[in-house]
Amino acid sequence: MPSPDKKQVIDSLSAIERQLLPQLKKTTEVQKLAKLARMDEDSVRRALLWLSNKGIVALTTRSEELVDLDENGRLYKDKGLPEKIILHALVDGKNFTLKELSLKTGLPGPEMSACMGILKGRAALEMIRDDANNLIMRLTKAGEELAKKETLEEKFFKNDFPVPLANLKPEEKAAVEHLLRRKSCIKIVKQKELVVDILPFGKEILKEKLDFKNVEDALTPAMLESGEWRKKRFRSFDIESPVPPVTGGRRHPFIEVCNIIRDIFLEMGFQEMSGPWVETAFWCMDSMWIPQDHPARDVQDTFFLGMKGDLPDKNLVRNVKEAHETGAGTGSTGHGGVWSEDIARELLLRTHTTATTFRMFGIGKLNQDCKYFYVGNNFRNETVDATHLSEFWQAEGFIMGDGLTLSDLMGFVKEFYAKLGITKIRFKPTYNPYTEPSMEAHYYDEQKGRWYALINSGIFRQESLAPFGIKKSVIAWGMGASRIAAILTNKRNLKELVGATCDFGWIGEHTAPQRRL
Amino acid sequence: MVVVNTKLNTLNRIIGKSLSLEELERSLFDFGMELESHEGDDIAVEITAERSDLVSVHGIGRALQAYLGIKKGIPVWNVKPSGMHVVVDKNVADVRPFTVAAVIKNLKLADDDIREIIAVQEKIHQGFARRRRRAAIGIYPLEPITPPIDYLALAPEKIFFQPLDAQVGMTGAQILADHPAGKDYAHLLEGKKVYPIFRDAKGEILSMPPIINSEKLGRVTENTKDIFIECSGFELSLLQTILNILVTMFADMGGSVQSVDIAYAGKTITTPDLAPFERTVRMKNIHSLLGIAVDEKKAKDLLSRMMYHVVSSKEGMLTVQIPRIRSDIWHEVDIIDDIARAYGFNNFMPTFPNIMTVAATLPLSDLKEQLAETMVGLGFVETTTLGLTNEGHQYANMEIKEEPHIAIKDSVEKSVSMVRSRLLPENLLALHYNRHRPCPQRIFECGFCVIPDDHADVKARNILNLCTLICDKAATFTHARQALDAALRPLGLVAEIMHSEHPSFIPGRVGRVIVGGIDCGMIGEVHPKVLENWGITVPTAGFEISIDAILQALKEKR
Repeated sequence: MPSPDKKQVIDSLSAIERQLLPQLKKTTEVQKLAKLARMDEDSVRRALLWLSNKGIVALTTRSEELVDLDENGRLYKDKGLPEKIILHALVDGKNFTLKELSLKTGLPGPEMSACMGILKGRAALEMIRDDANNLIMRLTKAGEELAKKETLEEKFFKNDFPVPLANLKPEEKAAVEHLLRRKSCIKIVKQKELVVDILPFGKEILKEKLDFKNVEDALTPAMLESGEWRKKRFRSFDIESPVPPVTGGRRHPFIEVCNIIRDIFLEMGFQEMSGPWVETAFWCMDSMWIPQDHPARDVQDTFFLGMKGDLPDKNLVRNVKEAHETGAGTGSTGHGGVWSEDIARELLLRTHTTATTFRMFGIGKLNQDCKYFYVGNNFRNETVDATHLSEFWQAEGFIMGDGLTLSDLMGFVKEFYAKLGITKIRFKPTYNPYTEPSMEAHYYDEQKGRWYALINSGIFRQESLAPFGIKKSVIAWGMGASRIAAILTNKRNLKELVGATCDFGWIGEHTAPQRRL
Repeated sequence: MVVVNTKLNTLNRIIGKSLSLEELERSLFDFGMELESHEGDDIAVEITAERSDLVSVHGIGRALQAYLGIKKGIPVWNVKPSGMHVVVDKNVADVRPFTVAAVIKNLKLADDDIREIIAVQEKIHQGFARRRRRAAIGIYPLEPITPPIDYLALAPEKIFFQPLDAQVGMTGAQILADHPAGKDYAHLLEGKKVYPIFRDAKGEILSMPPIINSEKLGRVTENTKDIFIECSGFELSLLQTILNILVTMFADMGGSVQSVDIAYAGKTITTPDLAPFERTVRMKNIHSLLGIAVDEKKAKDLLSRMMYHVVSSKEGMLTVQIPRIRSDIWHEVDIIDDIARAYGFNNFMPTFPNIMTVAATLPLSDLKEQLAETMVGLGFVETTTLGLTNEGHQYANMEIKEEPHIAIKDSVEKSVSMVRSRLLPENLLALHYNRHRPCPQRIFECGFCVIPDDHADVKARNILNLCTLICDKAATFTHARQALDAALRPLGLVAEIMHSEHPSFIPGRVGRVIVGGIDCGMIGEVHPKVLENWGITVPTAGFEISIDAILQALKEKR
């Protein structure tokens, strides 16, 4: 029995390796292997490569210079060198005119002249005028000798081409030098040769009895139907190496993040709410006591539609008006001035989902213990760049109950962060027109080594609740869902995170965001 | 957000304590400000918009001085009468009815101070004064002015003076038309028959609010020792607050504050009024709002660190003096919020209120999730395109005529002019951006669109759609239909297709999707002209249906 490692390797051999391996006992030359194994050379090379991966053979490529015949050279090898043809035509004192010689030898004009030059240079040829004053050619004595002798070049042409340059004898090298000067005669080509060395492990394997008769690459339906599989062995696979990727359908990473946030709210007992993208200034601003001359209402910050919508029932509108002007008996001074219904009727694209919270107060007539949440998009009139889009996503939640305090708000926010996997947080007082106290909750990013603000929150002001007749207290917090998504997906450029510009490849292959920052 | 730029050294000198950068960062954070950036000695402090009294480095320094317990309690500023008068003409009533004024004496202004005065004036103008809409400030060297000063309104062509930074005299109308500051703020006087001016006893014009000072009387330099300040606008209390913020800053720069009598028809008021105002705070409300146990002694101490002074306490009710520079105390909760800041938000013990509720989702969201998961199971990749788009994408590229839609006015982003009314064009845009990717591409999106609705209070309605596209060299109607059928199958719904016509699709290969008798949307092969418009060179088929309609069909089936 072969040792476990040898057995494992032998079992894993693919069809072409099995076909080739036994032949390695006889030769390591690619051409010969191809003949012996009855494979084409490409398959032999591929099988050798695989065998080398298994440590059976070592492959090296040797780069070699070869002398090969060029176009004319192949002709010369076949028919002889042209100067020899001329010599043979003129041997034994025969003489011809140039024209006759050309006809007799079949050599083209330029070749003839080239040969004349060579032969004259060796004093093998002389030209004389005959009686009719024609220029005729005949051999000299040296020429007659030359015709009988085999030249170095002729000897060299008897080789099987190509021949390795390195193997040539000194006189052959001289011939090569001569021939290289002739047009399209020979050429030097560089060739890479695959050198196969059988490694010690390979030698061990070759000593084994290699019986591949019943080894199969694949189990087939035919084998199953016939029961033939019982006689078969199946080659083992290299299951540890990677395979080509496949991708299927995937959720969008941004939606996955929104769903994480949604799940957290649901786990904490919140009900989902939803509201329109187009809002009246009333629901987006006035209802929550944002003064009518607040900078957020500027065209520079908010998308206005240039149209008016309808206000809700008269009592509510009157209450809101009073809250703005005089504080509506809440103990507040109000903003003073005159509150305008006309400004409240302006239609706009909502700038925050808090508009929906106040819709719930007004239309849902909430005045009981409850918790609501919403993940939705909002809009701002802003130039688009890597970190700003003209729309952004906000996750928002509120809790209505008796006697809720700032400590309670902190407790909820802390718990919410914990559900996102964040425990290192700190609170900062801030300002919102409709909450007091107002609080930002910052978290510490361990990787970046700095604090980030993610949550804005507060306790709704009485001026914003009184118009709805809400006697309970309401704590609320919101956070940028796009910001959380950017953190959880490591996409700092928003155009790569959302929108038509988002890369399908990333969506298809992304690591799903997890609850951790 | 407002940012105040200064130096750590300067701020420390005002606070009266040498804070390290880290200590300053922590104190600012706990107070509710933020160290936005720092480089060398230069620091930038971010303050929140409502605390207009913190808009100067002196304001921040003063607040931190109390907060850190170095100089607790309400700051006191002495005001002596200057004997100066401003006479308010009745005819300003329609254009700019109110003004307040003060005099500052014995200033020694360094370059830094001049820079700060300009920065503070600009910040108040832009923020608190809403780009000079609510109020405008004028600061003048006192010496060349001959009192009393008249505040009156004249017809624009009758006003003539050389404004700051101009080479020649101009009329009121010319200033609005040609002067840079005039052009910036012209809209504030647009349509007025008369423009307001301040004019001294010699008839020299000081300024034309809210636009610009005169070159002759309105330029403050480092040689200025005494100044005259006025603030004009529409709401007396706001003007007084702004004036107070400015004069207290000058006082903290070493000047002495003097009052000016403002003579309105029938009533003369004296400004600035730096006497504190009072409000009451109930001890029990501190506890019920914050959830912390604070006794009276502690409450008094915390209040003193926020520049308040408790004048008396009776039966759990504190009477609190508030400095006249605060404009953000509308309600008792605003004072209690300051108590929380002094207590330190990070010294609270967070509690988790036990409010029992049952979680619930919206049926539409659940259906959307179910459809999305089905599409993923069918091998489709989800997209999230944007809600804002333009008519070129939604209509022209789709070869359809413009329909009523939600158009947006004055967008600063050129590519944005409407809210999407369909998902299909935006998903073709997504295919366009991803055209380097190998096909087939199978994508879907569940997303909101908005369409006009006269019955709604907002004259519009959100609709939730599902759009699916198959982009492949062999994509046909059949593939779109297979995807549609497979999407509806888990819901137990079956779609019927009705031959239809639509310029976005190939004729004869487009239909309406009818589910349970309800028209839910379109299905078809996208027209080659449309594909060409989007630069897509691979056949694409798909559908867009209304998830609201599917929900309706589901309800009717049950």
